[in-house]
Amino acid sequence: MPDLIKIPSAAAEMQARFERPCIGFIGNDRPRAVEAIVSALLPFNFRLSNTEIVTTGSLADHKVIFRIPERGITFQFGAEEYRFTKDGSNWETANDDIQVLLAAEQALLEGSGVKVNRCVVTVAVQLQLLARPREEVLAPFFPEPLRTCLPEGSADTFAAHLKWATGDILIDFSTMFANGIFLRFSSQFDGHPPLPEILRKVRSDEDAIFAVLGVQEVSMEQ
Amino acid sequence: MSLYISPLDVPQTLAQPIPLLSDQIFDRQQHPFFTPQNQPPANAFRFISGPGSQPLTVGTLNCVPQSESGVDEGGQQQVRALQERYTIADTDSVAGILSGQRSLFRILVEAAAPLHQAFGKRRVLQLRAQFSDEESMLKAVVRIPANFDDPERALRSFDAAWWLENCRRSGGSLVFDYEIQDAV
Repeated sequence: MPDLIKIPSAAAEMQARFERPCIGFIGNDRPRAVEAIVSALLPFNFRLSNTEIVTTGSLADHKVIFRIPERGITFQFGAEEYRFTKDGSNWETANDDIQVLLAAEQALLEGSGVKVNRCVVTVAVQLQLLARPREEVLAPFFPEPLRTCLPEGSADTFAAHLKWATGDILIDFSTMFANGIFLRFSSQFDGHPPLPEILRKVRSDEDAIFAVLGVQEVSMEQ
Repeated sequence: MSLYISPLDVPQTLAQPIPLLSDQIFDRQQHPFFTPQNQPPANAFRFISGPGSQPLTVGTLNCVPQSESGVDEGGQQQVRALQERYTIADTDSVAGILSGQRSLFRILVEAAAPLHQAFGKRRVLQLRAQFSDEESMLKAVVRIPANFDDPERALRSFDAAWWLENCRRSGGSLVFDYEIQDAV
């Protein structure tokens, strides 16, 4: 039977990289893009005071940031990419949240001629095991050859990181929550698949990792 | 040098909202993007040395937002802070009790260290809400393995070392106990 967990904290980010840098987004075309995005985000309670223009550092650092703080949402774009970030993410609000992303990216890209080369979605989750000690749950992920390095007893913490061409997984002890596990995983997509398709893939990745860990989120009623 | 407060710039991070309480303001460190460590909350502020100067982050200060009902969300914030020390399944019920009895939060924060001292530093501490017809209270439980040697003695040592000195502050709304893992 899976160990029950709570997810007290989670965040998700989608990064869309352009095929080639679009200098217009940080130059002449910036006012057009900002105006279009502001108009697109107004229905989501966006306020102009939550906009920031960064013009320091190299050209790759220049960007415009739009925040909707009450929803934990940030959208930003520069010459090389745009990013959508959601703090306090959960699957219940995911479909509502991507409406904000859809509106912002459509406003940014429309008429720009920019093509998205690839997207990377990253999810970071703090899991709190409710009963079983995390040392027991994470024991199978301990690198066995290193056990000889331990003087005696068990390690205070250890982590497992797996990276491949189109994604990665990091499993670590949480330093934020008692008996917590920090999980971060990412998936890379060629081009820009439809957002529902991306969400399905990320959800299925998360389910698979939870199954590997042997954990299950406790329902709200429990 | 004067200190000013400005909105915290967290544009490139996936900041994980966490509660920061007044006595923790200067304890926190900001950590790199997307690490297991604490991240500043989205509604945080930072102190800077003066207007127009380079920000000098010396700490963060959290706002306690007001819910639509007008009740402050301090209970939820306290639950978040307690989740650093205890596992909490029914967060809403625990938050409700904490909102009604503010002294419990501080006691629970302080109790974690002596509990670990008495039962071992790796023990899981659980916090639960308990309700009866007349009252509601919190129960903090130390999860111990079946082969734990003399848990009663450990509980007595916790009582003697810390709880007897502090129990008056709880108003009778908090109990500490232990529980054997996987016991039916």
